[in-house]
Amino acid sequence: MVYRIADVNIGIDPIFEFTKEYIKDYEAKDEQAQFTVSVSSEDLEREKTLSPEKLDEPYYEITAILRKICIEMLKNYNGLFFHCSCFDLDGEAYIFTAPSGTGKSTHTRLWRERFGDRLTMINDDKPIIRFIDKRFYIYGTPWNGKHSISTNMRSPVHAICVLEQDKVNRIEQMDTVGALTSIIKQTLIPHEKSEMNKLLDLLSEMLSQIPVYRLGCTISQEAVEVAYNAMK
Amino acid sequence: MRVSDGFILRPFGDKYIVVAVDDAADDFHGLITLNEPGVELWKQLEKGTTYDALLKSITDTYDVDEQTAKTDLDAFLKTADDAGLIYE
Repeated sequence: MVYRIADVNIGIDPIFEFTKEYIKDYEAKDEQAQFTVSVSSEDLEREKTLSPEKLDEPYYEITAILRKICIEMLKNYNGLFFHCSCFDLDGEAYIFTAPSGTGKSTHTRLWRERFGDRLTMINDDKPIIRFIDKRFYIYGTPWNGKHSISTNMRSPVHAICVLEQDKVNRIEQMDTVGALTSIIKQTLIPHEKSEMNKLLDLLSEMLSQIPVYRLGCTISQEAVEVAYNAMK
Repeated sequence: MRVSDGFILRPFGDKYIVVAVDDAADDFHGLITLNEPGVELWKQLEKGTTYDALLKSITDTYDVDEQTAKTDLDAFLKTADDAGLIYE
């Protein structure tokens, strides 16, 4: 079966029914695959050793597929996976990243409450960012987090925000290297030198175009107000 | 002493950074920023060098006394050594 993810037609033949169901919103029946990923039993074993917690079998397959797609995206499609919660607001994408457990989903829920229909969730966990015609776009993917709130769409990236829990709400723009240090941890870091250089070339271009902020925040509408005023 | 296998220096914006690739990337996930003197030291370490040669390169290039140069060099080498970036 062919799936269209981040505007690339990808041949995927999942082992598990659960996996087929997981990615079915991205089916593109009549398209020709631009590349194909297949997951071997060795790949599944490898995912098991990499996973910090024990998961149901299909999740190892789902993660293995994502890993393979991301390597190909980086090599040939100027694309990278980015661990974040992101939405489209008035036609542009706002991206919130942080280590797991910081409260990305909680924070973007507050934005949904504030902006209602003006806002569309793109992805709540693992979207893909691509550099196309000199602009960066963020794409919804099937890998959408435990709340499964996402849309199969793309949106031009407006701003990125690194979240931190705090007792007060404050925001500042980060310098390039500070931003890189935070951001690189939230993508899949390749092993091969050529791919690493590709990733850093992409991130370098992204950080020259797109402002990155550090937001210290509470769980409140005031946090949204402070962030929106700086990022809009 | 020299740079361990798998660490590469590259420009990023107007700065220089060191990142790990290949097997070194298994244990080292972050990045290190180098300032201009750091880049000069790194380039010598890539070729392989000695403590005395590094120290001489600092006092030859910058207007510092030997004690200050030593303090700076020791701090640089300790950081690099602790992170596994260099070996004897």
